[in-house]
Amino acid sequence: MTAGTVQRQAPPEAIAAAKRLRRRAVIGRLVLSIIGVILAVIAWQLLADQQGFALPSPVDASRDIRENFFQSTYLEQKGLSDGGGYTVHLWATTQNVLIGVALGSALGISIGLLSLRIPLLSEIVNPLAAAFGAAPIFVAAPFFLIWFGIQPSAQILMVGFYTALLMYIFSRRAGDNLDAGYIESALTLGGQPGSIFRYIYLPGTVPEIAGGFRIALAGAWGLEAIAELLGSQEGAGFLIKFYATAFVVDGMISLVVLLGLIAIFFDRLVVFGVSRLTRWTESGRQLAL
Amino acid sequence: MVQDTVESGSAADVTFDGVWCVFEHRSGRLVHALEEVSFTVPAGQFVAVVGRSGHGKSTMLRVLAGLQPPTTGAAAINNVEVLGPAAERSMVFQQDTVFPWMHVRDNVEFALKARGMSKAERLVISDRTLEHVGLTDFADSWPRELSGGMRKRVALASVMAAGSNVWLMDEPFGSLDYFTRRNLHELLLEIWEETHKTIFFVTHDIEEALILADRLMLVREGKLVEDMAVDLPRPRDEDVRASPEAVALTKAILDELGIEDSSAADISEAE
Repeated sequence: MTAGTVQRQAPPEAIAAAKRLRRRAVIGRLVLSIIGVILAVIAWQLLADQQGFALPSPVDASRDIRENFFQSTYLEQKGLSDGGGYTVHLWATTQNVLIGVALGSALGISIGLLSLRIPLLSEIVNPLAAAFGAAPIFVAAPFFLIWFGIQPSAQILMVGFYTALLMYIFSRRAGDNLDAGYIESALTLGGQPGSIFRYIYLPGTVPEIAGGFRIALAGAWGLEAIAELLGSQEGAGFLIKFYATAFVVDGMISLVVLLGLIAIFFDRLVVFGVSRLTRWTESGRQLAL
Repeated sequence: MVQDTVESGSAADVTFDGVWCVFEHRSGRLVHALEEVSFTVPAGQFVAVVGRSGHGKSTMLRVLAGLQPPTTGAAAINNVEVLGPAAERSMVFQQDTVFPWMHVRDNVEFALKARGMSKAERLVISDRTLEHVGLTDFADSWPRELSGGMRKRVALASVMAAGSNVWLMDEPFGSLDYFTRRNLHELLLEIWEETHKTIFFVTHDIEEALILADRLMLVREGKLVEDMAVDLPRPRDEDVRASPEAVALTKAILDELGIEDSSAADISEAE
């Protein structure tokens, strides 16, 4: 038997020092994030102070949120809320985004990965993905509204469609980028197409697909807002459009900030979930800290 | 994918019969990766395939593995033609192909899982194999937590657990330091002496070839230019490797491969 591989126990002071270093790294990252936010708020305030620049200050936005978040007399007077203030509209937007992204991702990832096993599928889908992907959302969105109306289902469909396109591209690319050495190694160990797909392609493509998913989710918020801007009876985008016509700039900014915070929350959730799935990578290990 | 069927577990005879591998370069030029290579290797022999980079060593291994079909001619294991990859001819690659998304134990059990073996049976075999390669304490580790040498042990363990008749090793230790390579040489020889598998080991390191092999096949520009026995006593320690017989063998190898710098034990340095 060749040299043993059992590690000796490190001395207590070394273990304590390693833990201190790790804590400092985590706290350091948190502090830098907070500093980033503070700097952004300061920049916002400085811009708002400029004469003739119609930008409410952070103080104005926070006041508007306080007054309208859970209940909004103004919106109730306008018939845009039956109680619940901004929360109702934000929930409508969030719901549509999450459903659209979930359905679109399931479809896009399935087709993307299946096309690795069925090359004919990629021959059929690739030109369609290129064609539809090139069409700007501003051009495509009205067609969704014309064909499917201004119901939430139309918005979900639009978000789902573009998410599926994006996730197909990322999944397909992830499979193509997977090191051929892994496939060949699996083949020489007796792997069959089914086991190679299940134990090699599926887990091996997770990091790249997860990266695409974050991009798709981030974009979905904007897509949904656009769809609501163009034609909807509820949602953050719908409210922003209403406020724009009424020149309630405080409200517009508040909703953009709130939507951004919601998007950040779900992005962090995805990052946490992905870190569990990718603990085997160095970046996954870092994210899990 | 068509696979030949050979009973797994025991060592196997390997035959190359007039194998040509010809590729068309994008410039239109034809590249002869292998030119009419023929040989027979009896079961249980340790063969080192030696030659410069780009002269056909890896192509020979890939044909044996079923990853590269020959243009003409055929490779066979126990007289059954090689038609595609199969677990009875497992390969350890030069680059790291240990699956990073599987724990060490799952890597070792992959071939067994692919075969449909039960978890209990897999556990018995993986326990035994991990103990053999000295990685019992790392069974639940991720490959990224291991050193390069340890990941090579995982690769060896995967091939061991697969129960392959023929082991194909394509410069598996090329990227490792001298000391790690020495340890892995000892491990490989220990396993070979226990299991008597047929091993094809590609290397450009003459010293490595002399440490490991019973037989050397020298490949030059796609042709098998020499096929020689290594009659040095085992174990091949420093004294044996410094003996007049070993030195003469080294000189003969360099001459056959057309290398004038006789101080270059590593053919890649002489290029």
